Amino acid sequence: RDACAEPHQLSKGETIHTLKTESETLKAKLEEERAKLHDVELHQVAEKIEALGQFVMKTRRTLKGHGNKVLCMDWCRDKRRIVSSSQDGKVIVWDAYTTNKEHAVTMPCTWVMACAYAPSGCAVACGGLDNKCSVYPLSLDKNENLAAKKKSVAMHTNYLSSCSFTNSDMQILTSSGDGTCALWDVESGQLLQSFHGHSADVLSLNLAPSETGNTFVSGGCDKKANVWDMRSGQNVQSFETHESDINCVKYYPSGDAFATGSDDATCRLYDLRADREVAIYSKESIIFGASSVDFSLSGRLLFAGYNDYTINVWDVLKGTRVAILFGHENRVSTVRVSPDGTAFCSGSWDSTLRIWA
Amino acid sequence: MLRFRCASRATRSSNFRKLSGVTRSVMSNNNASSSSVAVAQKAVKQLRLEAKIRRINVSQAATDLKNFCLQNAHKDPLLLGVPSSDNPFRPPKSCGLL
Repeated sequence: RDACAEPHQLSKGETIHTLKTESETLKAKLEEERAKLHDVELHQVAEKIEALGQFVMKTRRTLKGHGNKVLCMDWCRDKRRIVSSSQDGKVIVWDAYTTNKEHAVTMPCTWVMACAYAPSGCAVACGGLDNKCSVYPLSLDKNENLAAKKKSVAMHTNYLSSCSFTNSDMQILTSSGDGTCALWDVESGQLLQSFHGHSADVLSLNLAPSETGNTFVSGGCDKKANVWDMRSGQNVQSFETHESDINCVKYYPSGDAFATGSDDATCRLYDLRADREVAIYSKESIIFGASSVDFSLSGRLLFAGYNDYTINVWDVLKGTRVAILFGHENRVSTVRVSPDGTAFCSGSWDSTLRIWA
Repeated sequence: MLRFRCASRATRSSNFRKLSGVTRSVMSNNNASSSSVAVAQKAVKQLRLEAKIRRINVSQAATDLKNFCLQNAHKDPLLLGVPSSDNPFRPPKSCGLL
């Protein structure tokens, strides 16, 4: 499987120089082809649509309990439970309706940058500086020590930045500071597929909505967003228009596009069928990086958390900002809309999580 | 931005990133010239694949994105702002408990 194990032969007439020239030519051709189809801007197509009214979105719940920076969170499919992870190694499962903590586990490492809820609601996965992704089955018995049943699934050679179950509890997709993504079988811990193509840390991944097939998108410190075929491991599309690290990638609900949040202080929308960037969400006054993005159910709103402690809400079609949400007292590190779209949750370096509706 | 680098101000991302880079190149072929050939060959192969993608006009793609939004708008609680009684997170207008 590892192509690096074979000796590298040059074809007749090929030199490193000709390969580099061909590379440049192909890149230029790619840009030319993409530009030919760039006949209109998204916001122009959206001109005739009614503008969105005033938004009243407030913090409805504040989840306090982490002792340190919240780095990641995920919703359970039951639309009320949440798992969150923090810098001090704690992973907490909350009931967002009541704000009660249902489970808590302390990881053997700090900086737990990734956590995810299993589709069944019966387990959570997490990892970070331990370079692993571990799965903890959630026990109904509150007194049971969750750490005892821990299962190590993924092993990377650098920190775990993001993880996600696929459509079942049986497989997990991970991304890592080692520059790769990988698909793992939870039961056996076996590596099913690896995804090579980023040239620096991969910071985020997101699975396509299930109706649109077996692909996922990843973004990283090489400023690229890559779309992958899960079965073949092939990088099928690549986008490089950001000017700095891509911190977060999220599919548009139809699966035909995805949004990114970057250290260059912009969020962008890329359409997969047009194979190009189709919108930039930015303002001169926004100078801090966007750490996390998510769409509302219809895809009309994009919620983005920033390092300047705010959450900006964007009209995806018109490209304008419709609201700024204040409340967090430090960087917003994670933003996710609930499965039924009634609320979204934000996590912050101020050690709290907030539910907004 | 590497989240790890924020752990201590002393750890700059460029160092950590270089460390990551070194780790990965150790995994590949040790012969320096051979590995840059490999990288170049892979890049060309990848670009050839990407060149073959069938693309549609932005006008068509944008129209489809717009239509999806409009067709699903009525099902989007955060967009519409559903009444408190339907949103479990919004406080109900009157308290049902005695």
